[in-house]
Amino acid sequence: MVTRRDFLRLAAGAGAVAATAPLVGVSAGAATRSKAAGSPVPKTADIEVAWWGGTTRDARTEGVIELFEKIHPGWHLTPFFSNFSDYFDAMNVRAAANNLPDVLQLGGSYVPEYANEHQLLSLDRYSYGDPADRYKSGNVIDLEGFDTGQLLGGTVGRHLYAVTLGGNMPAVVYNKSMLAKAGMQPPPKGYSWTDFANYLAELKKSLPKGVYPCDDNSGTGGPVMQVWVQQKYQHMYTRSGQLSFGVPELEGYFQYWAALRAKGLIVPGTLEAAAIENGTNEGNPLVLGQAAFTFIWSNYLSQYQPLMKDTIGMIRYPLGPKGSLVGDFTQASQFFSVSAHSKAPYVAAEFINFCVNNGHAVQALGVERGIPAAVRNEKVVLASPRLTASDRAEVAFESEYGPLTRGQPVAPGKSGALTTIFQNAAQDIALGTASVTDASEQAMSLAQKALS
Amino acid sequence: MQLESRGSQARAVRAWLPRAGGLVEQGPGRLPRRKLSRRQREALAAYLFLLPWLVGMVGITLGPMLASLWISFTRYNLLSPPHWIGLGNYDALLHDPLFASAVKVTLLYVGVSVPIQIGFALFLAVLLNRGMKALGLVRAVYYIPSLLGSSVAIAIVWRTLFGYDGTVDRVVELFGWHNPPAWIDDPHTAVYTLVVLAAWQFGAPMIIFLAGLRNIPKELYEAADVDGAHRWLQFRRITLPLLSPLILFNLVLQVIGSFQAFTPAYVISGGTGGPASSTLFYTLYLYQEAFGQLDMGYGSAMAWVLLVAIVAVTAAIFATSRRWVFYMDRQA
Repeated sequence: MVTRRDFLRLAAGAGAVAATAPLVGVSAGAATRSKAAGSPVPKTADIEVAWWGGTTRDARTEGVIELFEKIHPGWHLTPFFSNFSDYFDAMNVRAAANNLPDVLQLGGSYVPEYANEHQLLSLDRYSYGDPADRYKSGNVIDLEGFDTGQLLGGTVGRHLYAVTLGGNMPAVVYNKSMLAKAGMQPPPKGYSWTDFANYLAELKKSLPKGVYPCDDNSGTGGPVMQVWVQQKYQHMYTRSGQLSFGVPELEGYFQYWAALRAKGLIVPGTLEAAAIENGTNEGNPLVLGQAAFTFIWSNYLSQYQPLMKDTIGMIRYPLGPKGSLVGDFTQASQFFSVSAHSKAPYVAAEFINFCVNNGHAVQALGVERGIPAAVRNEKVVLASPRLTASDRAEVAFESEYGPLTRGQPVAPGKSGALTTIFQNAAQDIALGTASVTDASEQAMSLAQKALS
Repeated sequence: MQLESRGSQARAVRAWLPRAGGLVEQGPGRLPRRKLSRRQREALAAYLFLLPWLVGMVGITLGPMLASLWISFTRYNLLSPPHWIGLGNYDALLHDPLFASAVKVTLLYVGVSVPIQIGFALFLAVLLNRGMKALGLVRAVYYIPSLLGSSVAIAIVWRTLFGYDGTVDRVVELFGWHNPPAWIDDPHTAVYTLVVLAAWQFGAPMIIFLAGLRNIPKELYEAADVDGAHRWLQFRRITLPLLSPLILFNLVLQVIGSFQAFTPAYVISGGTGGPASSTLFYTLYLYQEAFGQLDMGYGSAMAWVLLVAIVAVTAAIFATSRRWVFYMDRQA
């Protein structure tokens, strides 16, 4: 793990001084400012906290809100939650009205997108990385020991706009019980894409009718295409924010999936369509017992397991052919940010700090959003009596494979649209409404238009 | 300004001066009276009563419409100020394959669902008009789907019925249809499940047809009976012509409504317009572009194209109506 001091050096060197601003002289100014604005600690406050996710996340987060309200009797928190796709429709409209929730969960490209539109509050003056700064006025979010990469993921133009809620990485989740019944072991470490295709063909022979060896993740689930591309290219995006690969690469990727589909090794397009329309964890083909493998993120192990009777496990994504680059990466799975228009930014910052540092809160949230970004908090989670076997497996998985992955550069702000574009292309191919070549060409031109 | 206290001209001028303006010196106890004609007073009262509606019309409908016309010539993401790009959005529409697909899906939906809906409404209205016990109750029962039809709950029920391995599949399998289509999850059948859902909402046109049927003079049928015309002939020669104004009315309303259909496609496809864009209705694509991608300029351009298209189709229907709509009073 990178220490705080390493981070300072790295961040300063990279010219991306994230949470460091309060440490290098802004804090004095911050103190005067907060004094000028009156006491930063309001006796009463009413703030809104928003997130997307499944039912387990809702219950865990609401539990933390309750805890927080008990400790701060004058402060009231209103939760807002929905599934992923509806969430950003709502947030976009609220951003337009300068009315984002005080605390809001964000992921990946939405942080730079909203920060660049002046919708997010810079958390520089509310955070600190050195314990010596703990008692400086306004400093509430303790980022000591937080993973550098994850902090940078919440940084835009040298300012911290988002605090990581946990780290995750791509992972293939599989149904252990099904494999045991079929008398098979999961693919061995270091397996390749070709190995995986052969493995699925072998597995298909011993699976009951109606169960497919793998989910169709050509357009859904984890960042399969990104990992695939990154095994050949240094980055998915060029420095100017364009895609670094072309139509042939995309075609090759879709061809791989089309070959699996033709042999009946992945779920048919109509079943995948049902899963997409459902849009919840409960409707996922692996959770429903329709598929034995699925490409997703590591923190889904602890989201899927409570919904299933079968036991599930996790392996790393397949590797590229010999001589390929490492394609998978660790990242902050999601963040909490504060609205630039919040009337109680101090309370919002206190709540974020509570979520990422308070022992009870950290244990209540567990590893559902990923592994805590600081080792000290990971230890707190590991000591939790509520920790399940799958939670432990998730922590073990990341400590084993995390160090082997590459760092993740922040995706350009406009890349949010690409998920839909590639998902549509994948579905057109899966349902036979477009050929691999046509769908790849169309998706590429749409993607370039979206990024321009 | 000098004012005289006598003379009709002066009085007329004074009537338009403010009452409490302090401009006009008034004798004690003599308030100037507005001399408005009865017609003017009635018009004034009418506009006063219309004021709340006018405020709403201008503030909520006309104003935003004009604003959206302007936005359609800009690139605007809600967060930063709009940026004028002229006809850029309209030009992009021409080259957008998803736009073309959305137009195709919507035309298919309108073309299939409207005739089915109107035919069904007419059929049931004629059936219900034949006098039966508890007619009021039956009419209410048939109207219920129209109240529920565009609701989210029914769209979810539809998904359960017509989804992958859903209720409908289970039932048809019992009757020996193996490997039935996945309906909602199959791009070839998905839009037709929405057509069925629309056809099921025949309540409003049915009620209108029922009212129309009541208005057809009984004597016509009696005379036809005497002449020995059987029921089908009576329907074709009496009922249909006399109902034709209402058919026109329902047709126009349903066409406009169907062009704007949104909720069922949104809920059933989970907002995606899938599978493979087969339920990507025009309005759903507009919504995705405007609120999903925050491309308000593009969304506004789409909205204006839709408006023009609906006006054109409606005008076309009216143009043909001269040939097939029969107004009894004009004939007499």
